[in-house]
Amino acid sequence: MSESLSSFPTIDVLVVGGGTAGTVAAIKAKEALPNGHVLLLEKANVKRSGAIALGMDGVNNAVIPGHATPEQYVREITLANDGIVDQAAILAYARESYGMIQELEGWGVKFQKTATGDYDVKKVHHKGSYVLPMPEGYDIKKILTRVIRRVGVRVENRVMATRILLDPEGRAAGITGINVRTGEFVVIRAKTVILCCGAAGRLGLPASGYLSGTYENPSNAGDGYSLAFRAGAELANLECFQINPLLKDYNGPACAYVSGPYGGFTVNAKGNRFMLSDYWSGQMMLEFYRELTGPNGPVYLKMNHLAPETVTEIEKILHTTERPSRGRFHAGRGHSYGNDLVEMAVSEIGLCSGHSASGVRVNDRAETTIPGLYAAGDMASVPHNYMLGAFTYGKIAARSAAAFAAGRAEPVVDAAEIETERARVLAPLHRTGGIQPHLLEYKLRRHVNDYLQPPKSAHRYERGLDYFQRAQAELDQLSAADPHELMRAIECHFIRDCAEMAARASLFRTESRWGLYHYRQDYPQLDNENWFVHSALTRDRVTGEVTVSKRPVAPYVVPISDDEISTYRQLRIPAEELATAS
Amino acid sequence: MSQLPESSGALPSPAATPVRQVAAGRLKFSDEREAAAAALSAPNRQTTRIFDVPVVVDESKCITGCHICVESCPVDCLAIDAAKGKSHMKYDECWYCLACEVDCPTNAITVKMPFLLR
Repeated sequence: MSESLSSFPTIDVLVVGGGTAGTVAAIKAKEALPNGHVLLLEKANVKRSGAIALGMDGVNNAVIPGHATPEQYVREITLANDGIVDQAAILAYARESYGMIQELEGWGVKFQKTATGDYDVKKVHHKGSYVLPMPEGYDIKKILTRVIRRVGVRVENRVMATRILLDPEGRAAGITGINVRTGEFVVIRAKTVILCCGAAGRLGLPASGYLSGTYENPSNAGDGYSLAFRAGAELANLECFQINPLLKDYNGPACAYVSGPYGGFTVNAKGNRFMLSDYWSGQMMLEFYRELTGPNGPVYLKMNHLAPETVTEIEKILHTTERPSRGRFHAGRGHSYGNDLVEMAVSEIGLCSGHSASGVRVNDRAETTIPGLYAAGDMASVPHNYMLGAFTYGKIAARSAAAFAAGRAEPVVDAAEIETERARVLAPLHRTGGIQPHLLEYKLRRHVNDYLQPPKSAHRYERGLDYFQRAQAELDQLSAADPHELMRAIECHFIRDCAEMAARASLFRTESRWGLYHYRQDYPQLDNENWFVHSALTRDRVTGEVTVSKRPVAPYVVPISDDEISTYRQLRIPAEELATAS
Repeated sequence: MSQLPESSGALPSPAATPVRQVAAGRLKFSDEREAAAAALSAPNRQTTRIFDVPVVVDESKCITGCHICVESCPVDCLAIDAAKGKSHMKYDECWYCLACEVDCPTNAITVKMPFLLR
């Protein structure tokens, strides 16, 4: 680092996290404030960071004129998320979705076109068509990094935020953090902070036993959820977990969104199709889980009926983008998509609004409940938002933050609070003979699997919550041999916070909703009379008390008819149809 | 061991209980609570365990002074071995994402699937 970050002038827009949402947020903030100070912090390196470190095969939620309307998309996601949505926030995305695609094209991102030059949109969702392949999607991080440089965004890699600073009026005023390579403690004052820290992807343990073999990039330890929680921001619907159908053992996507449009689909051990749609929703995951654990399990992705050239086409995509080591995984076992069924399993749990609906609460301007604090991407509460939603909400957050920063004086931060934080964060480096971070992390995540993995019940959840509270004392015993281990030690704090939040939110909602994501064995029924609400979780900054309450669902801007609302609850292909088919 | 939490009041302090005579084949503690308190206050000791790591670097191809892979790794599991000046996988935290392998200018890196997944 050329200079100590702590001596840097006050930042106008500070973006925490340089993945999908964060890069666009920083680019758009710099464009809005060409003479302002925009700083992008990334705990890894922006060239290979976040959920799309190795690119992405396509966008899952493109709302392109002629293929879908914003209102259609809002309706689809409302149904996919069992009605509990802030439609205004989804609509804000949907209206800007096409503009974002055009902007990405201007930056050099290639989207698949038909022979006539139209966007080659595919149908994967239950009702509408929103999936748009990116044939050269492996290049996306390179393109974004180039734009960051061109626009002149200042980037600091390998810096991880540890706390959000607030001014005496309770507005965001900057962050504290550490450089994960040098162990330097950094303080950055900022008029606005945009959190783009990704999912809480290191929450459950992958069944393989390999701790880093998570679905999400394991760098996404839930940093943003914990930062917002500790700052006193509201978090929404955390009981709506992320659980995905993945390649067994490899624990990455198979991916039905890629193979589906080519004719691939999910089957049970008898080779029968059992779901109407492979689009990832809680309701789909419940059918998947039932089949997997029932007499006709396991479950497979079937592509071996496709023409060899189609299989080659699918392989070309799956083995070059997102998780390119899929190819060597299959080859190592002597399997191929053309000859074999691909065995699938259920992922560990996580928190992620990009795939489900668990996130830091934001409105249609990406504002959290704390003035000056914004969130975008997987960690922000806009449901099923995926990569294009992250890009778009990065843009929306930048617009809101730039306007807020313009009217704000130098923020005041509390020196005593900073010193307390410095001591807390650096303590593991000075402690000898303590607990190693990897051990505590394993223990935390093992308890997540033991008690929080759905199906859920209050008795199990209370046991889990009891440990997550006791784990606070174990965090105080962590020691770190070097700055890298210090990063892992602080991530244990993030993981513990996320586990506690996941447990409390799940205990609060005494009904079942979102299929497997919140399937309570002790309350197996959907209960719209009492639970057609968001759950809102907050932590009091002074007392540390955590409360969960009900927040009404805002009146729909896109009306949903009564017969439509249960569409996603009827994904199973009836048994008699299966019998006829086989 | 000041960093350990206060033991609950129910546990007797080890110092308050006289140490028993050494007798081979017999437990040295008079009761389990005494044993638990002693175990809690005993210092932690570490051992090492060998892991086969996924990222394999061909040192004959790895360029001394280059640290592209170390910068690429999203989970920060690679480092330069100070003695050799070559890259190696220092922490067993690979996401088998292939960033290092793809970005290495001399094709010095091969990423194996972690054994537990293979």
